[in-house]
Amino acid sequence: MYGLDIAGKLRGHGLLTSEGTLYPLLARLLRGGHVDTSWRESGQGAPRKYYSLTPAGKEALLTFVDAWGVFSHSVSDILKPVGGHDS
Amino acid sequence: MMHQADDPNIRKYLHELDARLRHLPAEQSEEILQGITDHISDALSRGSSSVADVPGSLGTPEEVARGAAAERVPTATPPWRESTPWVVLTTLLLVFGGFIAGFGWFLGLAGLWMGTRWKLWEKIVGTVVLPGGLAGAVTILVVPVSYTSLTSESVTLTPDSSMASGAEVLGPVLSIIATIATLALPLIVGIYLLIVGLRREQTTMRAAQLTA
Repeated sequence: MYGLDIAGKLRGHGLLTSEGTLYPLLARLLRGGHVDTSWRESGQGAPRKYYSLTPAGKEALLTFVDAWGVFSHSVSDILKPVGGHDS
Repeated sequence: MMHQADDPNIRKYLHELDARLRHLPAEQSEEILQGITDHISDALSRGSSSVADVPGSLGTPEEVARGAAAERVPTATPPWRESTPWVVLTTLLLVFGGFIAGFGWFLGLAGLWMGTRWKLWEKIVGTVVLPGGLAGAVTILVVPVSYTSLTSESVTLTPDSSMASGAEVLGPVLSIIATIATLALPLIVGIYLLIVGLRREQTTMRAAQLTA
């Protein structure tokens, strides 16, 4: 995926209000070796910089998916009495 | 599309962002700027947004830079500039460096200003209070003494020499106190900088750990 694409997707999910803040994050992932970049020709105009996950990045992602599952489950458990009508 | 990306507003936006990313290593800030630049020209060429929309959808340069702020601490200062040997060496050079071929004090001064363990006012005091350190103090003491000894020799020739009469009025006691004070000042400042620098070790380490 390339920058604008990633930004658009995150924005579509309501996760990104200022699209510019994506780039410091991508730069950090790149420095940490979690993503890699490559230039590819695009159909229209200048070549684009594509971002892809490195093996280390995939591993980190899997770890996060596990942790997130446990975490979100716990949080919704704790919040259940607050948000629901059943309290 | 090229004309739009060359728009003065966009150039101003990129320029401001560049200024706010200046504290980052060049590699990082270039990566971010490049991403933003591509993003803008991509969005404009797609026609999905106009030049006027750019700051609105990207966020202000300040917001973008804030996202990079966490990068600063781990990369900006080399660890040895906040290390204990750095503190010790710097204070030693500030106090005694003047005796090392005359320029050792300047190394100490550089160490003081590059160091991370002193506050601004402490750096200023370390610079202003007796430049040259102990060697500077000795110079201050020796030069007027040799000067007055010269003039007192010539007292018989020029009795109205104000320097000689001033030294006589001061008296030996006062001049001894002044001598001790002049010699003690760089020592006191040096010891103070050393103590303060050593004490801040833990706080800087903790701050580095928090932001890492």
